[in-house]
Amino acid sequence: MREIIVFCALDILSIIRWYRAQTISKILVLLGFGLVFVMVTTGIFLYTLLFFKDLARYETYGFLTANYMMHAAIVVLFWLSLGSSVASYTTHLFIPSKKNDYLLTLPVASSKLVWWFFIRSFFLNTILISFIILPVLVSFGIAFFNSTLFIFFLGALTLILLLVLSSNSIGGLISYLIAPHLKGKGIDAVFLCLLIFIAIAILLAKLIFPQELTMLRHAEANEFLKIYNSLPLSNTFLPTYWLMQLINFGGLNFLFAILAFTFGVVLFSLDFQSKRYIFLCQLLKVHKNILKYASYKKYANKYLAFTKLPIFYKDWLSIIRSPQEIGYGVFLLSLAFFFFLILSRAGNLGDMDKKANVDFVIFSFVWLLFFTTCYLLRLVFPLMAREGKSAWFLFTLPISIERIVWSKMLLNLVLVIPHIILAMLMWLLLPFDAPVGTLAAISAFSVLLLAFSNGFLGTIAPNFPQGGDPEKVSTSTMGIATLVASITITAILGYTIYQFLNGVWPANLAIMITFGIGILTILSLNSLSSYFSKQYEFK
Amino acid sequence: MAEQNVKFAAIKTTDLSKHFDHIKAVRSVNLEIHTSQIYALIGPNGSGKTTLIKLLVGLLTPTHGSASISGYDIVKEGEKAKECFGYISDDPTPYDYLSGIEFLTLTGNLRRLTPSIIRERISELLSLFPIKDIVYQNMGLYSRGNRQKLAFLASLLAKPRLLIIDEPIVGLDPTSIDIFGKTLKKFARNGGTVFFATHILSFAKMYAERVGIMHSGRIVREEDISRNIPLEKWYEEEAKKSP
Repeated sequence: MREIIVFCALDILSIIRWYRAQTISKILVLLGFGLVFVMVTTGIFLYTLLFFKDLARYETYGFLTANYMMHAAIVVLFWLSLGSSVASYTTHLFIPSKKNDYLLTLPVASSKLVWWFFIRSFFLNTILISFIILPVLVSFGIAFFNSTLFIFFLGALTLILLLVLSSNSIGGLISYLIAPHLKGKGIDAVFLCLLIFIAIAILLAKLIFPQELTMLRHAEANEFLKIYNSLPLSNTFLPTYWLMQLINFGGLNFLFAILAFTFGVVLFSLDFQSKRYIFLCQLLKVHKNILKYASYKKYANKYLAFTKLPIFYKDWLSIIRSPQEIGYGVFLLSLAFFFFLILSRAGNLGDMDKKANVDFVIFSFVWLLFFTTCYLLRLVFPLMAREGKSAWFLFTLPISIERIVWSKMLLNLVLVIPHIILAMLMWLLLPFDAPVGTLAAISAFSVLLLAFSNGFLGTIAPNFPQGGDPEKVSTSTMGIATLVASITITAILGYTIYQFLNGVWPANLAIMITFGIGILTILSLNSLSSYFSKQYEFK
Repeated sequence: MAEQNVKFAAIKTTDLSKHFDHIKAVRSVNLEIHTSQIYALIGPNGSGKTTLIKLLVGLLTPTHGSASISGYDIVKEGEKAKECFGYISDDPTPYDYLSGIEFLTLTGNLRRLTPSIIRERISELLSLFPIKDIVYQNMGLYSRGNRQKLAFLASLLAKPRLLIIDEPIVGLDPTSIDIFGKTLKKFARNGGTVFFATHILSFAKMYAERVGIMHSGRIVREEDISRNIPLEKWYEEEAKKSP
């Protein structure tokens, strides 16, 4: 036990010490992310409160439908949490860490290392899941449990902890089982895993949101209960059903059932991991960068010889040959698609008045740009900084800096294509009473504008020393400045759409304002990028 | 070999200085290196060798003074100056998402060589070191020595007139050091110029024709070297003198 406490204390110490250097800029980064966190959480809270309060108007129909939706949200979150755990465990097993290699030389039982990683993963996953589920739970509680809110929250907190504990344990089990089969398979393996994850997510969405759900609203009492009880999540054998009972009624029998289930899974998973840990470390950590291909196919080399866009192609290879990057990109895109799919199903449940319709459009638009910003900050913003330690090569070749910047901008435009397509298609998917063409045009241009902004801002003061770690680049001071710029752009464009949908501004004016702001922003950022990129220094 | 202004010195610096906040990393360096010469820059850690080299190749901008490569100012005519040299960093971290052969091909393309010349040159260069087995492998898996070899081949690919190398033999095995040194000699015999910085005095003594000792950001001594020069003694003498 002492060793586990020491390892956890070391983690805390590393976080505290990280803040000792460049404290102000790091605190700014923290505050910036805190602000985004608060904004997103408030957005989810307000939307779900609107949704649940709308349902609360109908006595039986309202509560049972909301209860079903809450249950569905828990199932979806369980699936997300499971995906996050698998990603976290496989990364831990595959990505070489000098610290872990050192720990393996110490006389510490593998079970203690497994426990330590389980605690870390549990802690991080709890933050992630709480970020999404808490505002939903709070709005559910306010809408339906106003008189017993405190007891409801106790149940809700227990629910989050049990949900993460079980998903973390099952995620660990899955990772330890599949890890040996992914070794050396490169991006093919990442794609296969993502494909399975996404396919199951879509099937899950289709399963838990069946057509019958929309029939509930107009059903008579007897028919309502008949349909409700036949819904897939009404099955009393589902552990998530027990969780729902826990927050609804706080029944002890459900608490015992879910506690027994969760701790059984936790203990079995930890025991399994402890027995396999050393074996997997020996198997996977013999070579560094185990997820990357050992060698590459020859066609890329032939193309590199004659392409007129060698820097673009090099950077393209840097993305498609990096499992972490491509995995993050595909995951985020799928998440966005999945989110809008669920939103389209949920949107069918209530009758929306004009105001709710406008709010729903703005909510969807802001979420689209939020997903796009997350994607761009990780994949596009660090494109220049990624030259990092290899900058000695590119920046001593007889190539103008403008050519380097524009090659990266071109790649930026290619990388953002899936989001432009999503920006145009999502309006067909969502059940709005709104001019789809205008919204699609404004959304597609907004995505493009964010792409240009992230691309140019990434060239103004690239974090070359940390270029090998795009995650750190996107959370640097310049990364947070880019995030703030993206939020500002989102707010301005959101306001434009709001004015347009309320009939204050005609479509032509809304489009002109969007394009005007966009072109001005692009030209200004281009000038800044052009000036600052000529001042690069590589110490 | 790449075109250059042959009437100018391969490298010329005038009062070249670089300051980082309060640290004067390079102070008023005046250097002139003629063509077909192998010049070794030696000095203790932190003496400013790497900073000087980064100023010469355009990775840093001078605080004062200027540097020119074959007559082209590295700041004002950067692209022309960069056409004249090949460079190897003290930490030649490669793109870990490319194979060795892809890295060489990319270098050729970016140096505006045609696909057939790229193929021909790579084939010639791969005969220098026995690394044919690994050139299709991911460079992220290369050892330090193999990365150094690849960076050396890349620097030679477009037949430059000047090679600028920071720590040429770090990580290399004795056989590769020998190949490396002999290749530099051959390069100089064919009219090329080599400027390298090293801590390894024996390597400098064996392959360089002229040596500069750097200390606290200045070049404090320059001498032509022959087989029996007391390089170690000079080095210690200069290291003891504080500016």
